[in-house]
Amino acid sequence: MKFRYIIFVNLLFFSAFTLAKPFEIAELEFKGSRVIDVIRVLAEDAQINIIATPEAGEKEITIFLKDIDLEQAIKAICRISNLW
Amino acid sequence: MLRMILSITFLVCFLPYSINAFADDPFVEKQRLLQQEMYKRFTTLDRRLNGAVESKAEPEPEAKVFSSRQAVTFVDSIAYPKGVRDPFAIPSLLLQTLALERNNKVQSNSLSSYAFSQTSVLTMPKIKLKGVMHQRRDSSPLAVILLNNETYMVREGDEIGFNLAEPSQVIKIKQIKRLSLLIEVGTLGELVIVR
Repeated sequence: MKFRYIIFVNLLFFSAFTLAKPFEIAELEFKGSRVIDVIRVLAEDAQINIIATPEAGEKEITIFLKDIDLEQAIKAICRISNLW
Repeated sequence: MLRMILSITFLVCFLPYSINAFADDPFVEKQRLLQQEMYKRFTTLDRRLNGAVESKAEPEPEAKVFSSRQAVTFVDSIAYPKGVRDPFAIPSLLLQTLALERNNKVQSNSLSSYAFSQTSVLTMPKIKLKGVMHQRRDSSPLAVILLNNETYMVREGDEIGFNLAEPSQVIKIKQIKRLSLLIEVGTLGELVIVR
């Protein structure tokens, strides 16, 4: 019974750790690209859902980010596109 | 048994007669004349394409057609081996087209005949690398490319068809680097050009 309890706790711990682990971008570089293309790459690699309105998606951005997590990257993209 | 013997005897007796009768057939004679006329035209065209000067004192080609054992030109050697037209040879129209193409190519560029030739004409698409993303995990990098005014998100090893006229022509992403993209262009199963 104790052994089962330890396994359950371990499973919970590891699953929580995996879920909480932030998606870290080593390098993101786009030049004159549409916002929709950038968020498409982010959504694909991070396996999350991101939605942009057609007006927002058509905005062109040039961005170079390094050692950043997903949330910060999206914030940065929105900020430079006047979407924040 | 008797029937079989009778039919064989009939065939043996009358077959040479029937063949001989066909030899003087006007249809056969017409076919022979038509073949001679075609050969004459074909040889003249081939000589003209090969740049040979036509001389009026030249003997009639039909005199050579079935008497000469040697081919007059390269085309003759294909279409008329041993002086008789080969029904399985390359059609004359195809030969003419190929000869015309060859002449045009030589005229346009003298070095083109030494260049690497391919069975199908490959068109190099215009590609622009718009962006790259590397992530910390061990997954391969993602790139966004602009190909024929369309945006594609690719990973290493992906293949994209770009020619609607020839769907087997693809580009294959070999390597994604920070500032460049290494791709192969070619037909499926035979990728040849790398840049």
